[in-house]
Amino acid sequence: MKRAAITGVVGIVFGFVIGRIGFGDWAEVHRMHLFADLRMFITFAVGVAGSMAGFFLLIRPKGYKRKVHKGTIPGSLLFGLGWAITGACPAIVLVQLGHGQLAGAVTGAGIVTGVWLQRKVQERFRWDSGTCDT
Amino acid sequence: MSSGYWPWWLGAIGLGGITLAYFRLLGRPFGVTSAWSRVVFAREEIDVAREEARIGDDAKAMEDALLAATLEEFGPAAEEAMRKELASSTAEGTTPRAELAKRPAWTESLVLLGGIFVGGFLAALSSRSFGVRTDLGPEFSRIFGDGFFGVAALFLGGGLVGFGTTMAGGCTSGHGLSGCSRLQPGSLVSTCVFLGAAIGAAFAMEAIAR
Repeated sequence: MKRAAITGVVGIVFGFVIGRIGFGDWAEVHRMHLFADLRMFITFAVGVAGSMAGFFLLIRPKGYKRKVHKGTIPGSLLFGLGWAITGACPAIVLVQLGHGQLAGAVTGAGIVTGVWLQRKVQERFRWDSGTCDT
Repeated sequence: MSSGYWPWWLGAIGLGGITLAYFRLLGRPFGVTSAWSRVVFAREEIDVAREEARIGDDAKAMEDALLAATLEEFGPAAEEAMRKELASSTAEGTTPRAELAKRPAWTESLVLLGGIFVGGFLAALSSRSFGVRTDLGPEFSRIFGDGFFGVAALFLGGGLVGFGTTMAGGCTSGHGLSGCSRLQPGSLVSTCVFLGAAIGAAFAMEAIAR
């Protein structure tokens, strides 16, 4: 129950932050991908640099290794293509919906279908998803 | 930019802070892809929980039951192979048990997805940008139009996002934020590839639309 409450609060803060950064705005994401506006790229890079410093100085995390596996490169290629088209990653689509953008429901239906289909194809061909945690 | 979006430093504090806070508070990396996957396959988790309740949480009894069933099916030759298989289930290449134990239930994952939606709604309210609309703005319409083609592109694109992120084992949050900041090789490769693919696709979309 406590973990669920923490998860909910983190989710709300995360949705708020990516909404206010502008990730829910298709045009803003498109301009980022075209290098027409570097603000969100810089936001992301500095955010990663900051949490990198935090991890190494304060938290020193163990485990949760993420290796390169057979699905890493093809999966990431497909995801990048889908992100450019829909403007949405798995979190952004929910922020789009929170902004009242009903188009996010179509993207969301696509995501659910894709997640389901990937599991079925993976079971058929038994490639390594790397984490066992997907 | 005309927008009232946050400056880079404020957004960076938000993204970095969430990545660290989630790990610090819940002891596992933040990631949204796994949450989608658990919610989509909630049915499986419910069935497994029901079976476990029936068998009891005695791992030894479970192991013996599996062995007995294997012996009955394949004869004694299978026993050693089975023992080996069970013993190697914590070996390299599979997820360590300590990490499995910290996996959230699908209900927690649903709470995460719901929270992101609520957070997006609050962001829209606070920036006075909330508005129910069916389009994604003039830029999307310029490239994909407003008709059936645009809707089909969104559904197929969403399918690529769902398929691709689960295949790669992470997305912008799991690989991009959590994995990159812990310098995980798989995450660094994934992030470079999906950013590169998105950049390439965006330029291609512009070239085709022109």
